[in-house]
Amino acid sequence: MLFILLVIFFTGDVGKQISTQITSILPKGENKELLKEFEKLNTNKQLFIAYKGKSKETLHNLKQIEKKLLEHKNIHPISKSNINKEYEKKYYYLIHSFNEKRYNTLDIKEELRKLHQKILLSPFSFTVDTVDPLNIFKKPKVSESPYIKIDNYGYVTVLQLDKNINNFVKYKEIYDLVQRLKQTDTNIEVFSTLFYFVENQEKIKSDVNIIITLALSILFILYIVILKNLKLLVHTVTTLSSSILFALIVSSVFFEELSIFTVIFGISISTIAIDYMFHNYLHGYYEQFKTINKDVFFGMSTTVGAFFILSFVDFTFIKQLTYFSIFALLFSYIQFTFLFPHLNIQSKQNSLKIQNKFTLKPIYITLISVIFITLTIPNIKIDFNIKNLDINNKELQSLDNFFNRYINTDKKTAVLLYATSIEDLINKAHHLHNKYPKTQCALVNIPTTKSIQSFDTNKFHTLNKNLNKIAKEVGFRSNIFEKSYIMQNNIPLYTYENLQEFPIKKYKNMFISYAIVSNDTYQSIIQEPYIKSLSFQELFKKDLKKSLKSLELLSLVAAVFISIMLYITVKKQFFKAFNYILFPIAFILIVSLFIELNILHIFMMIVVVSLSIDYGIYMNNTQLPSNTQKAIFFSLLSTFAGFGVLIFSSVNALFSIGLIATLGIVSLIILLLTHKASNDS
Amino acid sequence: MSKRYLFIFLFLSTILFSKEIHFKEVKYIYALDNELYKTGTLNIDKDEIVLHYRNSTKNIVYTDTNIQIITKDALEIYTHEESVEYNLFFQLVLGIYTNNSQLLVDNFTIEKNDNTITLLPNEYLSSVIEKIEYEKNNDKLKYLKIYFVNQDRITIEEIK
Repeated sequence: MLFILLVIFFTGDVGKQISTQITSILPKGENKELLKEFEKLNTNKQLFIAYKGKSKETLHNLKQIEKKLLEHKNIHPISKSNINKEYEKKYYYLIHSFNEKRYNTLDIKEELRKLHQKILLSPFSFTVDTVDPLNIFKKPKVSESPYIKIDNYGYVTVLQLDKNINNFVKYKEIYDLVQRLKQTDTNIEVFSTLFYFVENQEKIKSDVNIIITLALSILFILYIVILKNLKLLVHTVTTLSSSILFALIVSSVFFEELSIFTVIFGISISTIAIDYMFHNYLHGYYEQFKTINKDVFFGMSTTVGAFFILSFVDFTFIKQLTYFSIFALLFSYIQFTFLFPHLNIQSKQNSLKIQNKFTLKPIYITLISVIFITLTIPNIKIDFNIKNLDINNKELQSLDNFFNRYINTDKKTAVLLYATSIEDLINKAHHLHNKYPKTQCALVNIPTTKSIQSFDTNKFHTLNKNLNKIAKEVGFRSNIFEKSYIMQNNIPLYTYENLQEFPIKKYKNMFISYAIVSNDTYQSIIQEPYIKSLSFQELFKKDLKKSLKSLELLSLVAAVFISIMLYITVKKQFFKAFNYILFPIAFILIVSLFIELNILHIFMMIVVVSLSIDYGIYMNNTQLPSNTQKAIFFSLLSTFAGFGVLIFSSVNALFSIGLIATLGIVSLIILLLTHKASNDS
Repeated sequence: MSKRYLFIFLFLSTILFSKEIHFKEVKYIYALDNELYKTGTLNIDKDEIVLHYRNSTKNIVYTDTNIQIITKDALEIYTHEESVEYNLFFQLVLGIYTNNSQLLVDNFTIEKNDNTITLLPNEYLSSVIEKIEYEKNNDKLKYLKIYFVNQDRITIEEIK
């Protein structure tokens, strides 16, 4: 079966649907699609290079590194002429603001004399601005030297990455090239925001490897050293692997892409199923060829039922997780219940004895739990910042800050502009630029129809005549200002085809582009009716807040469902079993006194409750408490191998899951050790 | 004794490294359709280069760390990055006279055709300079021609 599933997994390219991009946890919809469109449009990808050194060779060395990087076909100098510059030159008088005051007080002769002097005194060559020699239009910022000297450090420069650097393979190509260069010289520092994608993926992969090794080691100790049953281990691992593959294959039918977090978390969640096996195994179901264990069935139904209810939460990540968990748990349950009795698995003696030296009356546990919950709930703070779930790549962050300090004084964010026509999109870009002059947008280099209509051709023709006449008197070449202030070019056609070199995209019935805005104006800019936020955090927050109500409601439904299931199965022992819900919640909530809870903490709490309810049912409905206790203890160890080890992860999302899982496991062990048994035959 | 040897050594090194070059410069200014004629000297020392034009009160000094413009009444100091034009000029002079191609390859691609060496500017400089040509006869500069994108042209020739 495992083989068949493997064949389906690889031939169906399920692996390709697993995404390491954090955007994969955003719900399918316009915002996510726009975010992806922006990635394709974004021409603002840069490569920052620094060379450390105080000797006079430092600049030369930096230039040599720059030269090597420029050999790559997708890396260009920042000064490279582009479509924006071409348009700026063509439509100079239409896209730059006219200084009426200067024009009215202008002494053309005096201005030209000054210019004449400047030319004569220039040590090298002075380039006369024949487009606007009288400086009556607001001049664009002249590009400075591309090499910035940093005192007590060295030199820094910036290169531009081609816009077709838009997928992981290409990011990796640039990253590897940089790493090769860095190996040849330790004085080089290179940074690009693309490196986060590459390094984070590598970090997740190495984290997963460590976690898998740790989990396998724990499972090995449990099965070989304690249970002394290698056959059981082999069959359990095969069952879990096939369940994970089954869940991956079926989930890939429901979702276009599966987040790597879903996969890791799903794999961990599937190990809950081990407790079904332990119960059957330690109660002799496999030796006696028995199939359905009533307690296990109720436990599984409660967990799967709770996940089923939560699967209606309108939040992609939770949806992916619940689907994955339901498929994995059901598939494991079927195998552990109906297949294992036919595998001739013999129970072996193990020396482990769990002694309850200190027992607590259930009422005390209930009281302690209620006090903890009442004390902590008012202090709970929810952290909506998705970035806090991502990898804390301190090295890259410090490099990012280093370059930001010297190159961009302002922190900037991208926003999306949209309109129903290209002409309107250009108008909006100009409106935005006029209102917030720090905004960078390529579209402001395309003139608006309004600016074309208001251009006073006659006024500038007269100015041109005067200018040429006086220039001749002052001593300039006769035809040097021949074209000054005369509109030479036809108005551009506002069609998609004609402007395709600009970052304009057709999306559904809209045209979209983007602008880079300063963070201090960001909040006011996103209030503009034609602007959409491109901040992943904003979008995540919006979606999360939208889902929070349904999450609250469905959690309540799940709690009612669990209570009903509990009452059906344990009846009189209901409150004793209910402690298995209350106490883990109270124990976990202590963490909220120290940190802000994130979405994964909350979700993991629900998982711990679903898991612990199984144990509540087993412990309060059993005829053999010591065997049940052992079964629970072993499955808790297995759960720690699956979930708890995530506490060692450097990925905050995984650490959050691991933290809550570990606290949940500890609380359940406490409950187990203080459980007051009513009978043990 | 040792101080005297040290003094002689330093004196001799100064003479050995020092080089005084007399030159004439013709600058064609396209915008004025006119030519400017100048003569001047370049003193190339181990630690600095001094440029002086005849009939000018200015001395322009290039050192490893900065560029100084010295007049009778004032001293202006610029970093190499602040004074891009002078910096490039002195880099050229140093590169050509000390045969230090390392100084040239940062900004130019070097092409050699018989005795003429052509420097083609990199992307950054190409918006200002079209090309540079020079020819040397032994250690002496026969000519140095700088062609600008704005159609200006500077020709420098070494004179005795």
